[in-house]
Amino acid sequence: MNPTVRRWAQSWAIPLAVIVLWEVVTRAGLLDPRFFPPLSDIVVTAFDGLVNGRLGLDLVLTVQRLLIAFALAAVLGVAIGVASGRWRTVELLIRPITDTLYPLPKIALLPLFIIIVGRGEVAYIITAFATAFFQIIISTRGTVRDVPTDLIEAGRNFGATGIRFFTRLLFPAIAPGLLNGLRLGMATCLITLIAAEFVGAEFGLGAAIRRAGQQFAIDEVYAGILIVGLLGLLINLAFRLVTPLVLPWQRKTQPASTPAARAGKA
Amino acid sequence: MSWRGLRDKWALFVGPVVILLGWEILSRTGVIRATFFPPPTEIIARSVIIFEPASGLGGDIIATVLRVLVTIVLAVVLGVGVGIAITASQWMDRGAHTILAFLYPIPGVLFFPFLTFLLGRTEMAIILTALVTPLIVMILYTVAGVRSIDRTLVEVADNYGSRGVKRFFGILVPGSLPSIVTGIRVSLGFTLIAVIAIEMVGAPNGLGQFLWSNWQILRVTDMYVALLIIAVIGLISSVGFDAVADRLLPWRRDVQGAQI
Repeated sequence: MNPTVRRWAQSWAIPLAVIVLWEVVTRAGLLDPRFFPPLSDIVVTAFDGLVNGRLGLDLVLTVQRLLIAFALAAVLGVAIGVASGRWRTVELLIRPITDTLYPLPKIALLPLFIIIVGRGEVAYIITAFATAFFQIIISTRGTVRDVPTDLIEAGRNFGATGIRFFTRLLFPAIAPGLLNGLRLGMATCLITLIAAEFVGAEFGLGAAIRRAGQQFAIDEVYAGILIVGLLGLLINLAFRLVTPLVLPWQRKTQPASTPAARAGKA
Repeated sequence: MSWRGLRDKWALFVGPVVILLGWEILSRTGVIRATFFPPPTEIIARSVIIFEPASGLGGDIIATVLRVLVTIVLAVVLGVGVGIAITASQWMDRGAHTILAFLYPIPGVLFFPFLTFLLGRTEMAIILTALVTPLIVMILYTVAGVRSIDRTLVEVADNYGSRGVKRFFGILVPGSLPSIVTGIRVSLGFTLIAVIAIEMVGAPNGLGQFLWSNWQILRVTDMYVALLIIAVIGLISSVGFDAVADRLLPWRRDVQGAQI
């Protein structure tokens, strides 16, 4: 078998089997349909909700909040991350703050944000922003620090100083790790945003799932979860498509392969 | 830390001192509203409610910490077991990866309504909900760890007749340990998020519940006390965990992340 086809088959055989099994078992009535509706019903509910119901509005709101929060976190996080990776004083200045706030679950700050800025868009955006912001600072700092010193020195000797140091030398060197950090940052941004909506919002996918749960509308709960999962896959896909455009020289290798991933391919 | 080290690291203390001092002054002078930003000294003074049985905060801390510990232990035991088992076959490995990549960005708390249908508002439902994301993370990091083991090592072990339990605990677990430990650290973060979020929406006790109920009656200082405690738990689970792990596993190189 062609290795690409084989790989594809291996990736999808079991998931497809699970989907088929779920459909067959629920249709045959082996599981309580109140708790386990057939998958096709869930897909129909999701589609119907998106086109005719409130779910479409919820999705748009969630995506809008996600994009605003992530864009802010990416810009500020990368800037601060690069600064603290390059200059030791900056690093020491912000280190105690990032060390304390990074592991703090930002969802716990949601009530505080609601008190400060009121119950509304800004509170959810800040919560999601805070999560991605600290994560991106930390991953960017690590990537900058991993750039080999000889590369930096050689570049400086060849005249990469000032602005050109960043645009010509540092950015290309950190780009793969940076993109990987941004991808993971966007995923956690989504996780926190949905959780924040679930806990305290009126609209948005998280809120829709909470609402459906309170009304015991189990297929709507599943439909919401399905859409959130697809949104997560879409984020991954977007980064996979963007990477070769931003990093044309990286075409052959996987984006930012870690030691573990490289060993896996060997 | 020696004095010399301290002198080099003076900047470490500038950030927190400036923020706390600025906060204290702005709040005392009324530039920022003391109802929303009570001065840090007041928050510290208020922290004695941890030891007052009437506030119930002590019990909430214990409840949250216990939930986090039970969840992480379950995640590690199940995640390492499942993670190593699925590496036995490429079909299982790749197939599971597709499913986990789909489930990973779904916040575990979304499964809470469903699990409460099945199990009622029980401790079991809370733990299982909190378990979702850490379990996925543990499986992915274990798989990455097994893949990072030198193939020669595994083949040598196989040739010398290492089988079953011995192969599992003698080769696969120690070989993937660095990645597993990194996975535990990441999982701890997700566990804390999940437990706090679930407590906010549907638990009878715990720090999340304390936070949420004090928010509803706008007892802001008590909220800050709870936040402070959560921050300390977070610090212990990350910086403290690193310190212990680096001592126990000095060869641990940072496995930067399972490819999720």
